[in-house]
Amino acid sequence: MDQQYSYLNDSEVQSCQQLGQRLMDGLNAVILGQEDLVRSVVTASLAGGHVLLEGLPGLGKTELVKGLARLLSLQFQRVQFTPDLLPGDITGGHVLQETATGKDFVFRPGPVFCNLLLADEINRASPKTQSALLEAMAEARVTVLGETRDLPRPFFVLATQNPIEMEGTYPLPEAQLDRFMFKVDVGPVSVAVLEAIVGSRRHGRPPQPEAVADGAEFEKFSNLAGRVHIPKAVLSYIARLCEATHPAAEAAPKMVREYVRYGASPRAAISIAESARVDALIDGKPTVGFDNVNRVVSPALIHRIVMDYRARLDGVGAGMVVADLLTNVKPLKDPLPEEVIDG
Amino acid sequence: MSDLQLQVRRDRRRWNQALAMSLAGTGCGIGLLIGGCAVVLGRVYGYQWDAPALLLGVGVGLIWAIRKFAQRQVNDEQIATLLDLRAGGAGLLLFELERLKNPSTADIARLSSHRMEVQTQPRPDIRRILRTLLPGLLFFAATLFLPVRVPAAVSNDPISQRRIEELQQLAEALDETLVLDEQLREEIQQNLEALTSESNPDQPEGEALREALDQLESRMESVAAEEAQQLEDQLRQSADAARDAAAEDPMQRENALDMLGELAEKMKEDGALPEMPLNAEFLEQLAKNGLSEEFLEQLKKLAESGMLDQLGELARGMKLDPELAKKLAEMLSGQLSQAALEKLAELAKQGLLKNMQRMEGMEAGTHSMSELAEMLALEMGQSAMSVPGKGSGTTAQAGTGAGITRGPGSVPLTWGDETPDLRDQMKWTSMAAPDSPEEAMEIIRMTSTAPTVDAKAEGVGAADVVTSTPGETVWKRRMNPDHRQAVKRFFKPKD
Repeated sequence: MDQQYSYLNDSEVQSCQQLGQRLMDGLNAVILGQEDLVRSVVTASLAGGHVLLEGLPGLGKTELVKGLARLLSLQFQRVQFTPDLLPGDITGGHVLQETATGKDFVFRPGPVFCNLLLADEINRASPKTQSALLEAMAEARVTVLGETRDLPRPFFVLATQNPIEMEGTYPLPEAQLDRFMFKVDVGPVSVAVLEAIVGSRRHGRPPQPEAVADGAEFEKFSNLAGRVHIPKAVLSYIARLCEATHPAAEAAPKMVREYVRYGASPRAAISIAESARVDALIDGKPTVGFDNVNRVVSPALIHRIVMDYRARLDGVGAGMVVADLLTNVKPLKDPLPEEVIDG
Repeated sequence: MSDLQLQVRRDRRRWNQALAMSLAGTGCGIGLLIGGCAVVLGRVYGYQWDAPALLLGVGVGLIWAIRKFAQRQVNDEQIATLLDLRAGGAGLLLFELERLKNPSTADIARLSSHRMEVQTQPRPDIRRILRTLLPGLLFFAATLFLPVRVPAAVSNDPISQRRIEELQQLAEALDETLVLDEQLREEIQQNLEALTSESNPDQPEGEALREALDQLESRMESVAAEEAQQLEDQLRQSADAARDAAAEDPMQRENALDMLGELAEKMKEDGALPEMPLNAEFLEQLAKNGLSEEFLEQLKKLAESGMLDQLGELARGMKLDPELAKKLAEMLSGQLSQAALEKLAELAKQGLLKNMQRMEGMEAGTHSMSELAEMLALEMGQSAMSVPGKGSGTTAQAGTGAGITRGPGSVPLTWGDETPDLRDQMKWTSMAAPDSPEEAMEIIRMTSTAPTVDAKAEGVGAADVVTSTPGETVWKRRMNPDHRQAVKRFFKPKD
């Protein structure tokens, strides 16, 4: 470890924990009964990653994103993706405008120039339009007609997609999926939660949350997250988890060998490490533990594992593969000798 | 050093002690099994190796345990990770351990609040050790009760010795009377040597040796019988062929001569006939039979240049009797040049001289020497005209000028002083054509399966054949067995 490495002190850890807690409390007030979903979205957002929300219509995906933007006081834009949406509709373009020196082409920024972009039903747009988001998501800048413009900081994309009504949709290519830090499945809520929603919300409108942080606090949190320590054993665990997703790897479990076609990329390991740092801060710890890694592995890996067609035939999903990975890949790199009984 | 570091080191030591004990116990168990085997071996051969075997076994077991321990000993990182996992896997213990390596801040005491009271209690797995140690111990103890065996007195095996000597004599006789294959000779020699070494007087006699002797004897007898039978067959065939050679039918006579030649070749290859080179002694013998010195010189030259066979071929093609052929050879050797002889042999190869028999008034063996020489010269001249590459072209009726003519025609296109045609220097080889169409239509093989179609070789029309491959074939050829299982599972009817 570098001698100059500066560990977080208590007050820094505490302030980060409080910010995370305030965000989660605010979002839990907007979306009832989705605590895990809220934590994943908050974790990815604070880590500066993009999130892909997948779920049936009416589960509150859009409200969740709108609530997050309001809580963070960030500039929020929403783009409803349709098959006829063009790249220029997202990035913006040059328009002829009357200026002081006469008529001239002036760049008019598109909706991507914001802090938080909600790409609603992203899989309904054509691949050309989807790819217009690639540069913005990867490098936080946009190039139009050879001119490159930086996007405001922070910038992250929360996209939603509908797993049904697949006719006329364009599934996101693997390269674009890899740019999302998390993919979170939005599941149905329980009866008790439904009762609470119906009983407390007129027309289902959620309460409008007050801002709990601003852009500066968000930036500060991001900087502090970079100083969260990751022990060597935990780093090894993350690396071994990602390696085990490849069917050709020696440590790959049986389910991976049978059902996975391509494993996770190194970007997956980076995403796990970054999101685990934020998760540890939300827990109020200056260091990442195995529990943080286990919590973020599933949303970070399920969209990065390309399943074989046999998995589809046998009804095996990426979530089941990740669960199997967590069972088979042990935190201990070298197992302790079996000849010795402990306890 | 912090309390946590001390705890990690202490636990590591305890884990390694437990591992060492466990491995030592297992190693001793394995070693005692090995030692027991050594005791058994010793007692069988009449030795009492109890103490050395015990030391050897235990030593080997301990060496094995030390090597295993070096590979598997527990380190600090494993213990720290284990402790952290016991504490909930929050990473705080690991953080503290790694942070203490660089104590740049003064708030170590603050971190102690995160420390949880976790500990490990390693101990050797006694049941696991006993599973190996107990059988080893019991086996070693049991071997100590085995009696030491006294070796029996060895007896000689005179019968086997005598039989081996007989077989050696038989092998020598075989080698003298028959031309044995080199490999077979070596095989017999090796078998005899092996048997001789096995029949050592120091070793007790055994049934195996007797059986080996019987097998070798029967093998040598069968070899002798095979060789004798083969020789007898060849002689019988030679006699039959010689009888046929005296027959009046020329076809039968020619076949008989061919067969005699083949048999002679085969017998020469088998070593039954000696080589008959054209040496000085043979030439002298020929001279005594009335051949002139010049003829013999030419014959020698012909033999050296490999033309003797061709001359014999020529004589046979002309249906000459041996006396006439001898005179012809003498005349030719005196009159014709080497180039002319080669040309003659070339014409004989092409079968052109056979046409001489069809010439009017010509009967094999009835013409005079001068007539034959004239005919030969005439035929050579005509044949030279009709040799391809000499400007003859392809004519329907050469010489008449009738029919369709392709190419420059039958007139030679040489005007004199041209460079000799390189093709003249080439040797012509005529390919034998089937004499009858039935031979060309002979069925080579019949199969019960459909013919395989090569799309490239068959052209465009074969594409339909290729694409109409049955689905079952495609299913087996193109799908991985695992994938086939997955598809089968998916389409399996639900109960």
